[in-house]
Amino acid sequence: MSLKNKIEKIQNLFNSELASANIDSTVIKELQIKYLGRKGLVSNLFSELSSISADEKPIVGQKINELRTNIQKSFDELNLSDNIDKQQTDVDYSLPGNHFFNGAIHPITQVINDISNIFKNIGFSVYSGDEIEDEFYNFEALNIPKNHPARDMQDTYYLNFEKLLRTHTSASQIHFMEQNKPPVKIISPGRVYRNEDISVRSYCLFHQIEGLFVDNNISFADLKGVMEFFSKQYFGEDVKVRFRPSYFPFTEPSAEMDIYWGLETESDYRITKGTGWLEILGCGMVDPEVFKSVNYESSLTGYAFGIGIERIAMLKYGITDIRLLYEGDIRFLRQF
Amino acid sequence: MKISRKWLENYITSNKSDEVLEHEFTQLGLECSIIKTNSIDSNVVVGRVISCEKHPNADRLKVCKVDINEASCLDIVCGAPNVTHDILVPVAKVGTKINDFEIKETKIRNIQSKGMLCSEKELGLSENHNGIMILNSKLKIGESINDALDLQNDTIFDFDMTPNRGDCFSHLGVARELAIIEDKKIKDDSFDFKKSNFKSKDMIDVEVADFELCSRYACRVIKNIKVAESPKWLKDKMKLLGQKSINNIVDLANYVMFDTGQPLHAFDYSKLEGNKIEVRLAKKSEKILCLNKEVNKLDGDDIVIADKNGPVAIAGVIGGYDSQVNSDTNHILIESAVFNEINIRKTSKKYDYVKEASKRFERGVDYSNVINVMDKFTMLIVELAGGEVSSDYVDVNNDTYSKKQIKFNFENCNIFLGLSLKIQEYKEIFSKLNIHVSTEQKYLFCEIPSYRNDLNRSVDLYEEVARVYGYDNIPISKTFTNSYKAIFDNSKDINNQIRLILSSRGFFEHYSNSLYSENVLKDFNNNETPEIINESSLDMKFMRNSLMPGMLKAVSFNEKRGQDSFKLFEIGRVHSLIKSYNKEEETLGMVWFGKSVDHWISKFEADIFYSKGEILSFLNQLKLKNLNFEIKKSDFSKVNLNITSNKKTIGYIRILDSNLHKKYKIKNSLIFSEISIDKLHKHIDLDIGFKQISQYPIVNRDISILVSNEIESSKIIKSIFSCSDILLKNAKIFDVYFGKELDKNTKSLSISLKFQSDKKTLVDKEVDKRVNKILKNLKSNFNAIQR
Repeated sequence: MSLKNKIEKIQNLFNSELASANIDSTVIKELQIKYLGRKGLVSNLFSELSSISADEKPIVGQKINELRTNIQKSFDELNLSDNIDKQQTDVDYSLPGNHFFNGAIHPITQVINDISNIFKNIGFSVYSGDEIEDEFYNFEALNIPKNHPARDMQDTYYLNFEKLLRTHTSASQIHFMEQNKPPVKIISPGRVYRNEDISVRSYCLFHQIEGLFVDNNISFADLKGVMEFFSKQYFGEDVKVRFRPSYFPFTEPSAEMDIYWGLETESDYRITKGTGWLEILGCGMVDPEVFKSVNYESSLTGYAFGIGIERIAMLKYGITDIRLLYEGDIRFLRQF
Repeated sequence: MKISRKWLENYITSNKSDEVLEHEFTQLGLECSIIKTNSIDSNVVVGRVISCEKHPNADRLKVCKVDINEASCLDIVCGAPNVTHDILVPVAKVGTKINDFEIKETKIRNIQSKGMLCSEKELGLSENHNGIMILNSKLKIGESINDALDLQNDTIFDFDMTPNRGDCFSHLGVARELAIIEDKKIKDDSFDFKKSNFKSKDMIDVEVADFELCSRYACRVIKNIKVAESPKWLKDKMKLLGQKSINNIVDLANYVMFDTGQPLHAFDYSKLEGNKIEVRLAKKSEKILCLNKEVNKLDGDDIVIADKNGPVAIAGVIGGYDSQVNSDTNHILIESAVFNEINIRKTSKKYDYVKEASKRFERGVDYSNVINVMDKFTMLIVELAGGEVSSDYVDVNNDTYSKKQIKFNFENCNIFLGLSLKIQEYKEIFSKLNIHVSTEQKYLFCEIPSYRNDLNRSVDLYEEVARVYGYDNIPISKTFTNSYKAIFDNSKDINNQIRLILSSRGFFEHYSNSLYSENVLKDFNNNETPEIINESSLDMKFMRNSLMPGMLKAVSFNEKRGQDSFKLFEIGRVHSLIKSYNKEEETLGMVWFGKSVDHWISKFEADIFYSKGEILSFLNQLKLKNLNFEIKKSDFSKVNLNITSNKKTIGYIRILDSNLHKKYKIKNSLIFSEISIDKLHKHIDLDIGFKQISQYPIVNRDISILVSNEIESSKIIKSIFSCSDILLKNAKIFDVYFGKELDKNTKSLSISLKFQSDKKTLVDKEVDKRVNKILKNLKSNFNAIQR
């Protein structure tokens, strides 16, 4: 029998033996030794190679090599599926998955982002101011001169070198208008400070979002429209809002916006002081004195508003102690 | 500020309920809430004692039959000594609540008792508890005590008045607002009293140093008054307003102030030396003994009323002790004046006397009403304390005062508010506000009432129009206008991107306080930081110069509560002071905390390599280029790595030292890092140029080398790259080994090298050449021996 025929025969033999064999590791191992072992059938073929002519050697050699590769490949495939099968049995799949840390974005951030996104949708851009300010930006430019009773409304932390910690984000308005020509349409979120005792209801700092829109012929009706839009977007289409006169030195007229919260539970009574209405934000038409302090034309009009973030967050999530927001308690943060 | 509804009725009445008024005041800009003073339970009624007999089982008790005009009489056991038959008494029926105590039907020594007869003290009417209260025999039986006695069945509105509305700090002022709501006019007040024929001008001379300080000073002498305890009605008013009752004169001064908004003062005339008073600024080192018995050293901002011997009162703030009106007083000088708002404010703040009078002066009083109010005060004094009133009064004033007029363009107002009111409607609104109007084409010339110190510009009138018309009646615009000029690029804000990446990597976001004590400022860097000069506590005296104090506090807080493994981050401003210039830097802080997680397969330990890897991965995601960690000696931590991008430091990563573990009471291991977001920004490279992916196979070669322990592996990797060409794509340490068979000071590093060309399949020879070069280079640079 020629060597070529032998090669073919061994291939066929292997195929039939493999096909009829139980796929059992001992049988496979025996087959492996029988065909690919040091004294196996394929090795024997190689040793017979020396008996053929030099012309044929490379061709036949290659054929034997192909045979070896084919057989090896068959064994590899068997082993692979064998391994996978093995991995898939004898395992308790009820064991928990790997540990990954849970994380969360702070509720203050979430509220700032939710509110910012509403205003971004209607063309407001975001501008961030600094926390440390001059008296001018925090007070004088906002029409709160020294000895103005409105300064009583805000307990200010004063710093060395005649600086202070801003008491409201309204200070950013002035910076922005100083640096930019009208029209101006910005929101400015950030941290503000009040020198107050820390308690369930107040903290020495909190966060606000300031809004400012200045252009020609902006009206109080425009302000009401934007505030109502915001309320519907944030609190739901059915929300009822009301505006009532208030006083801020930097807006005239000034307003506070309430939403109807309802009087269903005892806590509703407490937080709305029995009226059902809840104060959400302060707003108004920019006072001409403010335009004067940034050298804007007196013919311009505009509106401004300020929203307290912590207040909204506490309402939205039913948080009753403001200090929880700054403690970093994982059991608290995990819930958001 | 408290306003009594009954008191308001002196000026104007309203049929509206308290709740409706509360709402309407609020909608008009006077935010208020309701306090009811009807404190006696309506179950307490007038009853007649029909019979009164001794209790069979107790000597001191009596059994009474009481008629309260119901189907049957009540049997009530009573222990009061003064109870007898045929008197009218207050009867608390079963179910009445008296001082949180509910009256129940009960048996007292075996006799049924269905209620209680009450003393004045039990009803809260006085301290009298000597017996039951005996009522006027003409009262109607069965009527509630509140109605029968006309007890202060009143509603108090508690106003949260905005600082611009000084005119509303009185019943008169609130009545004027109620008149707007009711669309009525308030009743005129007239004051009538008998005048004697002596003259105040003969008895007192007034000199005002500067009308800037005091634009009007009026006073009058009243002789031979009788200072006495105030009558009940006046005491009741003082109680209502939270004022201590002093005597009839002082109480009346307060009463008229709460009534009209004009603060008043009364001096004991005979204690004023020299028949002359001066209104002037205090001189340096002047002193005054005040009504509260404190001696105050005055200075140049304080306005004083002074006689020949010096200050007798700090104007508008507090009276002098020596010139006060007390039971020895016979003649008084009463004062009604207008002082400078700013001086009063400074003075009252300085001495911390924010009292009712200074509160009103600070917000501005009604210049034109000074004499009227003094007349009202005079009339009431005569009624309660008698006395002879001078035929004249002294009135020193700045007679240049004139009524304010504002030119008002109603078309502009319509545009400004988004309204379309006609001129007639404007006139009606102004009429409600007592603003007299004359018309000239589209302009209204508005004459402002003297009490409205807050109305000076057109825009102030726009607000008046808005609030009288009703904020809720102003239309709501349903379109948004937008100029593209107002929109600017916000895409550089990466804070939210950082938050998303870190939270999905398992970090919790934390917000911590920005204010700390000095004692934590030197733990993380040496930066000076702004200092608060009016701090409420030394614990919050400085601005944070690092996020770490707050974050470590949170870690400690959580560890104490059994949370032993977590990751935190915070984004916030970190402050520093550079040559008195404040610098704020947006900063990211990260903390990896914990020893282990209880898990059958996953392990975690706050380990600096874990943190390094996490930081690298997340900074790569932000598209920072050329990132590196450099081991740098630090004064603040034994282990400190600087994080660099393009060779510039943007932050650090550290292992918490043992001293800080102790300071913050943290037990488990902790790695922390701070990265300046402001600096990080500069290294973000969003110019993504796509590079072709090589079609040719990668050739892997592993090498193992022995080097001295001290050699930083990062330097070895760097050196491998620096001696290689672009075919070397990666060099990674995959094993570090120290072992017995190695020299004590030697470590074994196994490094996998990947070679690849973009142009062809590499052959062994080409790769071997490069690997040999690397090994040779490592040998010469680090004395590395190939294993």
